[in-house]
Amino acid sequence: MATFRPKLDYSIRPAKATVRRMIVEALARLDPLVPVDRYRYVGMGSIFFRDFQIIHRRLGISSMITLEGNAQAETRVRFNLPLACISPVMEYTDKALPKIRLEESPHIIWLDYESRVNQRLLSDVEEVISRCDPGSVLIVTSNADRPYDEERERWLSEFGDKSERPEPKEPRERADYALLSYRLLRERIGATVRSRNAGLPNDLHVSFRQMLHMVHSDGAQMLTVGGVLVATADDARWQECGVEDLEFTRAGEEACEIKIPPLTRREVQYLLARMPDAEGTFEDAAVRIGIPERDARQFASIYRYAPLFVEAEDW
Amino acid sequence: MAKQLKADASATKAFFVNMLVRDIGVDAAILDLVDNAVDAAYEHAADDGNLEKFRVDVQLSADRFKIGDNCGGIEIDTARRYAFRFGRAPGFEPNSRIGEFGIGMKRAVFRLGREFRVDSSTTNSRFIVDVDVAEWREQEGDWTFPMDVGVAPADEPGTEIEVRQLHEGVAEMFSQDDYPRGILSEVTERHSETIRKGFQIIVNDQPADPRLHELLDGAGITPEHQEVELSSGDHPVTLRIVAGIGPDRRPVAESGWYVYCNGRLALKADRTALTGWGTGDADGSSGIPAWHPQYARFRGFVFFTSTHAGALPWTTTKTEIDESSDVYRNALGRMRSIIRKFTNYTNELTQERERFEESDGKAPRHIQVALDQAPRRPVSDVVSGQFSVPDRDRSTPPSTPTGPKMTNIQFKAQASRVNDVKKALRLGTNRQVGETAFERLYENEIK
Repeated sequence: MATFRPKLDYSIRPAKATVRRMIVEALARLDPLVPVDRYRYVGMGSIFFRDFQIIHRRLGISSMITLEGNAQAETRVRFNLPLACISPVMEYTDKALPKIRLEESPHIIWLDYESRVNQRLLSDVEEVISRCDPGSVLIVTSNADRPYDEERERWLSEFGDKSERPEPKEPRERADYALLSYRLLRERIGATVRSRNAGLPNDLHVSFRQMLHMVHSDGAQMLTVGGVLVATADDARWQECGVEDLEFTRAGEEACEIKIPPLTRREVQYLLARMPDAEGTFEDAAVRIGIPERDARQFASIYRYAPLFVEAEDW
Repeated sequence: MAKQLKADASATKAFFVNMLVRDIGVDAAILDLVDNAVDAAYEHAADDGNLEKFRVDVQLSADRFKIGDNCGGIEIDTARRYAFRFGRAPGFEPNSRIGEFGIGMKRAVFRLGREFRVDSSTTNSRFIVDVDVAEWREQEGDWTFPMDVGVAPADEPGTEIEVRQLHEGVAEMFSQDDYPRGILSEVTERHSETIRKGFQIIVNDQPADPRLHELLDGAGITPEHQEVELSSGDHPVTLRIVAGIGPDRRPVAESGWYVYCNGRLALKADRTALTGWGTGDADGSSGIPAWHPQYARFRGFVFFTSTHAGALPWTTTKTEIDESSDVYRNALGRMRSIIRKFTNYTNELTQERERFEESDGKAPRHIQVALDQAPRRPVSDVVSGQFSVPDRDRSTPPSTPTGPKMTNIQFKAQASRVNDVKKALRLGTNRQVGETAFERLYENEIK
């Protein structure tokens, strides 16, 4: 019998877990725009469904679709469904998204890929942005690590020759790849919004309000970009959300880097007791017990969201 | 102080006429004149849009071109002040559906021959303009045509245009046996929507008979139908899109997108990036696939309508689409989305067939059954819906107890090389490439 084996256990990657919690925190802010429990969630839950569980619990969303293209995973997907409100659609995103009635109600769509930004992924983005109901949220996670040699050439050539690509045209550093991937995504989102608005009266126009731009790594460097499609008429309600007040949200090209510093449980407890750092003494306190300043700063930026993993028991 | 003189920059008539006709084909010139008649018919039509009492009759022969309509005629004042002007005169706001650029009639007659006669009657007036172009050209500086207005109106209001002394190439074209037939089919295709409303077009005594485009609709198959109100500048434009599965794979040349502006076909069976098809490979690994014969049954129809012809997404020749226009860009996003749905359906159908073959005819064929049973419906009758077909059967295929135990092999190969192999060996699918590769390996190494 055909079996399915995921590449990773998604539930124990700390950076990813942090990103997930941040996403949910940002989504919760959207309540003035769309009462968040009215959203339908479309995700790629694999067989772990971490995102589905937290989104259901924290946001009260109870209409959920998980997309899984690998037909051999079906048995395990169904066995592992953690909530009764999740419907599996056993199709890859490019087949599934055109069938989902995205235009009929607001959706939160998290396209959580393992692949790099590529034309097929951008076509999915176009499909969502061109059709989804105003108020909908699109989040895209993709691999943005540095490819080498032949893989690098092949990847770059997918986006035309140098003159057609955004900067950096000759990416070298890891950060270059994250920025180029980000710009490729944003370019497609922008172009799709423009053609969606073309020919429509102004009050029916939408704009993509970026909320998230994160770079994280539990191994390969990953990029997460997310935002909400806001109708012109809803602009005031979007302002009311105050998404930009959250310290990890980013509306522009500068990414929020999510790094989980390697700390022991005892060190974490010590640092936690000094947060929030109203007096500005936190870094000194960290250095006193031998923690590098850089790690202390990282800790301060993620401590409200990072998970603590412990060995609970043997299997 | 410097002294100023004025250099003469006025155009000679000969130069002007040459420039005017330089870029227009003979077919396009005739189509322009038919357009004018269609325009006039819409202008005089009753509110229900019925056009049954209107017709245009075109006669082509080696010595003369004639087009006559009964679509209301041109008022003397309109003719005197506007209809013969080159370009749109200021202050003239025609209620025109198709004609827009104010040069169609003059350009057409100059393109066809050296003498023309326009005879137009309304219910209470009539004028005749009869011009020998060579003579008119000699009279430099006089940019008028003499109008004869002292005649009683004809029985039926309408306009007749006759061109004599045809240019050499034109006369030769018109004397070819199949030329009128070609014009008829072109006119029929372009105005099929108008003909469906009862308008008659006759070319050399042959009436146009519009072939209806049809889509499968029913038995679980739903065509896509969208209708949206857009605007171009201040002018409202209605966009209607109908798309789905055509009644047959053949002729393949009919597959693609048809784009109409006010009922006139501006783009026929298009399968290029202009209508949203991909430019990459057929399997769509680059997003939207390029059109490929496996999509032969795709038919898509895009209708732009507006009371203001200038708001429509076509270029001045009215035979090409202006890709940069807002209303077209809006449509294009929708068209790309529909193409995604259609290509997905095609892939599902292919998988269903493979399943069916693998199972020795036991696996159900929900999609194929629907294709066989679905009734056809004319495109104009399709009502609101999203393109969909029945789901393919996804249960595990019944295992065949007889025969050897089979196993799967999976491997990756460079896409361009796989395509090279497909082309060279005429293989249709990646699966066939893989199977052939294994057979050859076995042939060479084991047997």
